[in-house]
Amino acid sequence: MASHGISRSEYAAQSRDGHRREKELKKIEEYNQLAGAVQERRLAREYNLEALEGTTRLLKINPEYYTIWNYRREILQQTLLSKHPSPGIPLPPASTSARTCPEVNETGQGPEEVARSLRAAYTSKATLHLKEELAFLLPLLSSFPKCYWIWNHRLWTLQRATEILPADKADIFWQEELGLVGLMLRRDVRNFHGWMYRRFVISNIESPRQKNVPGDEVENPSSMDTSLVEQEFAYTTKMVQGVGGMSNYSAWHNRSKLIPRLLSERKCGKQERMDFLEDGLFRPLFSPGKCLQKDIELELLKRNISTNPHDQSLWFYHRWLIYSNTITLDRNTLDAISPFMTRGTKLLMLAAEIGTLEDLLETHSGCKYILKALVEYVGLLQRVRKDPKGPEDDEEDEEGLTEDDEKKGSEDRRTWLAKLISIDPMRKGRYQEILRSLEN
Amino acid sequence: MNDFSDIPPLPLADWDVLISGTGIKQSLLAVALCRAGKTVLQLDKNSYYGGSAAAFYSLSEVDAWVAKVNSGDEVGIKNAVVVSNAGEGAGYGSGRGYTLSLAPHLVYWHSSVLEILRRADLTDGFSWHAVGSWWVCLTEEEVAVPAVATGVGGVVGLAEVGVKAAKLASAAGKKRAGWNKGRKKESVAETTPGGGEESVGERVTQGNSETTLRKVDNFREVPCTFEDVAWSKDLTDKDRGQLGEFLRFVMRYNDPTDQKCSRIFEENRQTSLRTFLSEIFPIPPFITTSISSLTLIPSAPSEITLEQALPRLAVHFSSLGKIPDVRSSAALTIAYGGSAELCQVLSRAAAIAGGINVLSRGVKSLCSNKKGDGNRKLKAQLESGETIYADWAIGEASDLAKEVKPLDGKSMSRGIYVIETQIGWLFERKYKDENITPAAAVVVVPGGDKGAPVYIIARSGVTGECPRSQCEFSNLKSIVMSLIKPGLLHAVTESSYGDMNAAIDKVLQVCSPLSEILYSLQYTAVTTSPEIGSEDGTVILDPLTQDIALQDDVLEETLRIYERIVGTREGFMDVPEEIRRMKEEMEE
Repeated sequence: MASHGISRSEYAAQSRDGHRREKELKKIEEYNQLAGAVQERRLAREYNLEALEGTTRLLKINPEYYTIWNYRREILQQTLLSKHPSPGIPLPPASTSARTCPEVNETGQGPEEVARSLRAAYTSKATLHLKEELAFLLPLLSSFPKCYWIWNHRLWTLQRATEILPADKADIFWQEELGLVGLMLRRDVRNFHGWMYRRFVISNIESPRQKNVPGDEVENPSSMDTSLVEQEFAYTTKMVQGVGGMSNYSAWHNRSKLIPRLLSERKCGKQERMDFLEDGLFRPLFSPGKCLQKDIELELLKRNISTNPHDQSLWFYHRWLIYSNTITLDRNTLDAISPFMTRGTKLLMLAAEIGTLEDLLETHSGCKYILKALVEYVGLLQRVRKDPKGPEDDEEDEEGLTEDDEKKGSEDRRTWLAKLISIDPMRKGRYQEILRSLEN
Repeated sequence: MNDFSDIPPLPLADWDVLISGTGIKQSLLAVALCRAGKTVLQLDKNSYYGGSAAAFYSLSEVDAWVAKVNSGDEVGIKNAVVVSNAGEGAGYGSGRGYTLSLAPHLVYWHSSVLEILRRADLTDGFSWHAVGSWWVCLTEEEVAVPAVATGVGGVVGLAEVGVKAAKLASAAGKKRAGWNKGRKKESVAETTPGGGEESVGERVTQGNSETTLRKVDNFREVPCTFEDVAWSKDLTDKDRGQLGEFLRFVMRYNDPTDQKCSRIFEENRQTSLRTFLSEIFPIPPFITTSISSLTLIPSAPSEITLEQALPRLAVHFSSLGKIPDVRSSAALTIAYGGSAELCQVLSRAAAIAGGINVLSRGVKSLCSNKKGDGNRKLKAQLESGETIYADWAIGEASDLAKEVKPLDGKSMSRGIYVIETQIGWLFERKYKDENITPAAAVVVVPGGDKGAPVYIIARSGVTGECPRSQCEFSNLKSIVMSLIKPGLLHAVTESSYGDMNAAIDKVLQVCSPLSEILYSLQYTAVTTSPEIGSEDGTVILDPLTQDIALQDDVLEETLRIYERIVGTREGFMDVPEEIRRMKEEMEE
């Protein structure tokens, strides 16, 4: 890791330099001694603060040594971050803080109070140790940002907070971690590890809170109080608006995962969902609740796509919007914005989108993404047309969607595919395959 | 400025290289040649560093310089005018605390100069500040003029497309009429009056979730990313498509694998930016004005060729989004005087690497060393009476006792304005979650159809160039502005002092409370034609251009000279191994 970006010859030249070589040999010697000593303690199953200190020193030099991280966790579990003994069992004095015990005895409190104050003392100590552990990791992370073991240990530490601290205290740790994720994603906006870490942190903030809503007071613990979905949705909006945000695959993806939850939490009805989809198709970035009165004419995904139709990330998102709302699998309704549209509405929506794309193709005749989308969406349109009519379907909706259209659609697809074959020869075979399937 | 006249005589008469002058190129060369093991003597006839990139640290220093300019003793500069509106009691006294820099350069993140400073381990020697957005002054009427596709349409056969698109659009419009029939009408009704007009007259920065582009009065942020374009309120979808395509073109014109873009570029090298943008990527004229402002060329868009514009636009676009923590910035600037500070730090670095630099000591004459005193090729007589010998002598013609004639070519008006007003809007963060606040901004007041624009580089008090409460405008038609604190506006333009002042006024009108200019310095930079040194070993440097950003040709010229002297460009500015080791040990 530390040798990234240094060529072998450069490195060899450096070690030929006697002065430097001598220093390096000394370093290696010291490292081997330290590693040996720590391993010895590990084999002897020593779980004490001295051993912990050994791992600290060793890991600072070599954070890739995952055995030592394992050992460190074993030590922490038995020392600084050990669990508070469950309240039912009398506490052996030795296992808790030596300082608090005499106090307890002197004041002669009742056993419940004793337990409470012991718990408080334990909580504040454990909080301190958790903080120290996280603080130890931070400089390591900035020197070795890509070392999985450090991240792994960080998550373990945070999860340990959830395990050993009262929920409200653990929550503070996760909240602070969210700040760190924000910082990282500001630096590296498209880093999907960062986005994954963010989702992980969010779920750790959300889920304990949900458990904590006292079930007897509220019948259905409203997820609104504990959910961060609105906040996260707004975050993705901000991210896709930032410099380079348009091609932030992770932000668009996260958005597609958040929206279904968002709508069910907002308790959106059928019409509201359709409105959102219309906005989503055209204005995916705008959050309906807030800005309805302004700029309704903006068609934002359209704006994004018309600005740079060569940006693949937009098409992924577009594809999700179209597919999830036209092909609805009942068990999977949660993945869509407006899953219950009538066949007629779906057809009209598809026709509208296809029209928009055809217009776009006029200005960007050589853009393969537009052509690919058209081929797919016209196919989708033909597929939806074969769906059985529902009771709500209006004859009127079918207007203009005749057999002629069907023929024209297939013809158009052939033309587009031919064009794709010429401008995107790398995927020629695939286009030819689709062409063949059209013949049948 | 200190008086160094009682400095003891030079320790040596014999040098590998004599560098006369302490400007940017001279100082870069001094560091590089010292680090390459040459013995280097760097002299400057002035008692201050920087030459034409100097900074003045008090108003009395400015006065001395102005007197020199107006008596014709400052090569390449004429017509210096100082206007001071502040009385002695205005708390501004002798003007100490101001740094009036002749070279408040912007440095692009992807510029070769910054790249070399990084490699030379010198970036830590400066206090860098982010340059915020570019703002261009455009009235509502100007923004309303639509694009005129003249039908040349080289790229995508636009001509034929025009008619067809119009037909299709109407047809599609019918077909598309509302799949979402249940949508409440009211929302649509509210839409219409919105438009882009609501913000006129407001002095508050416009910014909300609907657009990433801010607007203060008639000053509009220049769109330079795909996101800006997608979110702009002033563009139609069609404009968006064209502008998006143009952004892509700028990033690819130089890519040999993209034959289409290279071909368009080759065919249009000499086409003016204005013509190119109206014919090949038809976008509205106001966008052409905005895009042209990113080139930082203070000429009318009709006089900027594509060949000049594209490399600069490419640097701008490729730098955007790359600076950690200020992704909305493309450039940086050095505090305490911009490139004036650069010259001083570099000269110091040269001294650390073994060179000697001496101020107030000019070269009186330079000739080939024919009589054979020692082995050096050149013999120089200094104004102090000393004689020195060197193999190479590097400097601008006027610093090497060569003749310089003014040319009749273009001249550039420049101005530095000290103001005391609220121009905080220029320095606001574009995105709230960025944790660095810009300390400079670029404001462009276009010069109409044929006129040259005025560039104004505003520098906030954070740059350390004003006493605690003001900000400076620098006029290459450029401005430096400040918060309620004083600020500086630097202005740069090819046009007159009058146009420059008018542009500054436009900016000040937007500021509240209404501000007057506390102090201004205006001067004219002229192109000169230097005599070329005939002696073997004499290297005459081109005079520093009046560019607003530090251009790559500054480095290119020094690299060329370095190669001539050292024999290779490899290792330019690299820290020698012994020094690196010493440093390592000190750190340990």
